[in-house]
Amino acid sequence: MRLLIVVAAAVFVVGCRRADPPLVVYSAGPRPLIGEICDSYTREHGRPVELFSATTGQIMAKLEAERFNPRADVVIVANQTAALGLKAAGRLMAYRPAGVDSTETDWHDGDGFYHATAAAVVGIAGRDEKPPEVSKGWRAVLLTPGRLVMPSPGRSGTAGDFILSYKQMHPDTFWQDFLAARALGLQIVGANSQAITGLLIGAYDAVYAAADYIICREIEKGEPLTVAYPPGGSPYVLRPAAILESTRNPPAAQAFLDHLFTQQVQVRIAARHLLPALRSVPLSAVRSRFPVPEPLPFNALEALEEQKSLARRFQYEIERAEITGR
Amino acid sequence: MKTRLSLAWPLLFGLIVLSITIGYPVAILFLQSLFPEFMRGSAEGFLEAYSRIFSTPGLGSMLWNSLLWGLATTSGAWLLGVPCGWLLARTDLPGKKLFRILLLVPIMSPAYINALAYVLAMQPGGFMDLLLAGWGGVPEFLRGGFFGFWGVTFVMVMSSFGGVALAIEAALRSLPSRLEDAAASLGAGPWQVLRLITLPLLLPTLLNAGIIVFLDAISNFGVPAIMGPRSNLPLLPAEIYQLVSSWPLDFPLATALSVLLCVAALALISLGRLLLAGHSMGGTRASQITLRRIGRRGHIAGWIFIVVLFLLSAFIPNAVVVATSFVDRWNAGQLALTLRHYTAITAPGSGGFQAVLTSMGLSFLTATAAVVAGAVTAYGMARHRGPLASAVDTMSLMPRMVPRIVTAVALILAWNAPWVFMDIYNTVWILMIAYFALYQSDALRFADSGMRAIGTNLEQAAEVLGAGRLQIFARIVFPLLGPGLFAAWITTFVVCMRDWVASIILLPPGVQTIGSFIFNQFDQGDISAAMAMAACTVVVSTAVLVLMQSRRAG
Repeated sequence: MRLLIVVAAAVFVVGCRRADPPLVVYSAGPRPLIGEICDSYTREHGRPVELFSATTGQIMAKLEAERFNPRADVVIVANQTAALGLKAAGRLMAYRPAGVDSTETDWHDGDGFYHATAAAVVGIAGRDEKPPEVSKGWRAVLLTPGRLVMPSPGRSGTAGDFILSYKQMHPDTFWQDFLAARALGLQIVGANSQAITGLLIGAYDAVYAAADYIICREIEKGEPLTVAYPPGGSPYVLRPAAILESTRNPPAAQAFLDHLFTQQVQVRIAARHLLPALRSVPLSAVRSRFPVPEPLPFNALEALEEQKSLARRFQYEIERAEITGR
Repeated sequence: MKTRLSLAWPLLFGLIVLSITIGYPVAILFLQSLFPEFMRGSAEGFLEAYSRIFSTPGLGSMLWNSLLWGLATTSGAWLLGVPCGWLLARTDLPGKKLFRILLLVPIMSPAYINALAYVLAMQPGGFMDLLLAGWGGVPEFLRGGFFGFWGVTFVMVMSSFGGVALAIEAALRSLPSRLEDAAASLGAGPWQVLRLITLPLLLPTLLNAGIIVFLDAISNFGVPAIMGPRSNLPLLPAEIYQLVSSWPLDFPLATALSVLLCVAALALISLGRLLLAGHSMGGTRASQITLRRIGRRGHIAGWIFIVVLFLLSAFIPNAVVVATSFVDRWNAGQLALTLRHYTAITAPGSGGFQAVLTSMGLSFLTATAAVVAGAVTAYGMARHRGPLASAVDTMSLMPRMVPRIVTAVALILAWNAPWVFMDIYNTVWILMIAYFALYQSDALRFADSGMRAIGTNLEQAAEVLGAGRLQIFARIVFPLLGPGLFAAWITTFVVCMRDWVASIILLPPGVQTIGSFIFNQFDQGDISAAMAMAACTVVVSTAVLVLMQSRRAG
């Protein structure tokens, strides 16, 4: 009995103290990818990494809850607006990682507070035997009756970014478009994987606002899926990395950011079907079957201001709309 | 002989442990809801969050929905649970031992897994459509009804009626049947006996079990979070979860809503206590129960009832879980199967394997801590009855009344506050604190009922012979409590293993537990991997419970 208490106390003390403080990284998925990147960083720099991998929303929640006692050194989110929000709250430290000159420079923050390591493109996913018809643009797809599904903006960062983009594309018809789409049969379900499983099972014919790299992952596994991009451009979902202003170890955090833009890490990123930031790195075999559309113009600052009210109103008026006759 | 009993350290120990783990976070939560900026030392925004409750669209209907849902679930659980309990306790139905285990399986599979499974089964093109392909798939009216209020209620009833059944069974076994027999011999019909004798005697159990189901339902966010959005059914806990876990977030509003939920729960419980004040259970010993002969037809009806319930509550969802865990590719209906999701969990070093190890370690430590603390506290409570003891008792029960998600939010605020000098919040130990706070009450309950059966003469003898208080506790009381504590340990271990609320909300960096693994895989990754993990959890916890059940019976 007493022994047990002593052992528990010893384990506890060991758990709370560490000699060499690890670098604390909060990162959005895909988890295997960020796990590999952290491992290679540890191999090269000899410093262990403590990784919290979750959705962008969960990461932001954790950062918010820890406002008085911050712990993370580096944060990678899958959403430009979130990074901008952190910058606006004064929580980021400006740093220009080595090698960003040969990257997609217009993906980064002008003041150097965050730099996008990769981007996913928002597309419309369908099955091979019935590829989605997208030639008339985003709005036309939304307003065509069919078995269309979309991930919930509250649970999928991609869908969250998408509705902000759509709002900027069609500021006047935004609400009526989505309400009309719901009446035509658009379903809004949980997170990305729930929508995609619905497509795989055959419950739906197309996923609206799908992150293309996830679809490519399913294609690589052998699922008969395809991605289409409406003409005129698609929203890019950037994956910005930044150092938190409260970091206790700036050199290590800076080394981590440098590491993110090295050739080897960018190759790993491309292998997950994301668009790498480094221009010299080729796309994955699956991803290069599909075109790379132009990015839609996106005013992140405006989106940041509008986000909270838009997300909430979308939830009430669109997701929970009482659609009669169904 | 009350010489040294004034030294109440066991009770003080319990008071300190529970104040730190439960009282402190709940107090912080309450303060934060009143003063959103109080952690910064400012009284700005006093009551601002509460006033926003009224100005936020949809919250009123959400509260109404939550209450309605809780009531519907409770009624459903009564309707199914009471006949089950009666069949097991009072009839000569053959195969009761098996049925008791069948009832335990749904209690063991967490409600959110059942919800996921039913979504996979019932959605267009899901398993039910595949199975019923020859008959045109699931009829639309059934599907429409399922993805709505009644479907969400159905899933919740399926995971909660078993608890009611077991509680009713236990109560009926301890109620001597002589009152009923006497009434029957005086010419009362079965309905009269039921209405005038059995039901009034069962009332305390009915109400207590109902309150537990109701609280579980209104504080459950897994089921509505999974089925709710599709069903256009906004519920309060899902909203709180949304507010604290997805960006842009709103902590003050979430805490204010939590306090609201809390107050509703507390009001309900006091109402229950008020109603029960005049009731007592009569005899407490299991004695003279005449089993009612229900005849061949009765047997068949009983079997059908229980088997259908088992199919709906355990077999179908678990079959879906297992089937999904084997899916490699869906191919729009022509499934390709694989075992790789299981090899991924069992491969040492993989994320899934780590998650299992973490959960097992945490559950082991938490169960041990809860049993030790529960035994000491119960000892203190039994030997020092009084206001202090009842304060400890209420505090221990608090996490049962307060929705779990609320407790989890309170724990973030409490353990990440600027004045906490030890960095516990970002280590795996915060999960242990959370598990302890959420699940310690079972251990205290088991130990407390054990203490009631232990007389003081052995302790007094030891004291006369010069033994100290600690020695008496360790060498006499603790061993005497043994069997009850073993059951408490197993129960606590199982509930910790399948926890997901605390795991998701408090997860420290670099850590995965079974619950967070399932949730993350389902949300962002591979549904099949999530289901493989779920299947393993259900098998392990069911095995542990069957083991316990057979030990108790044998």
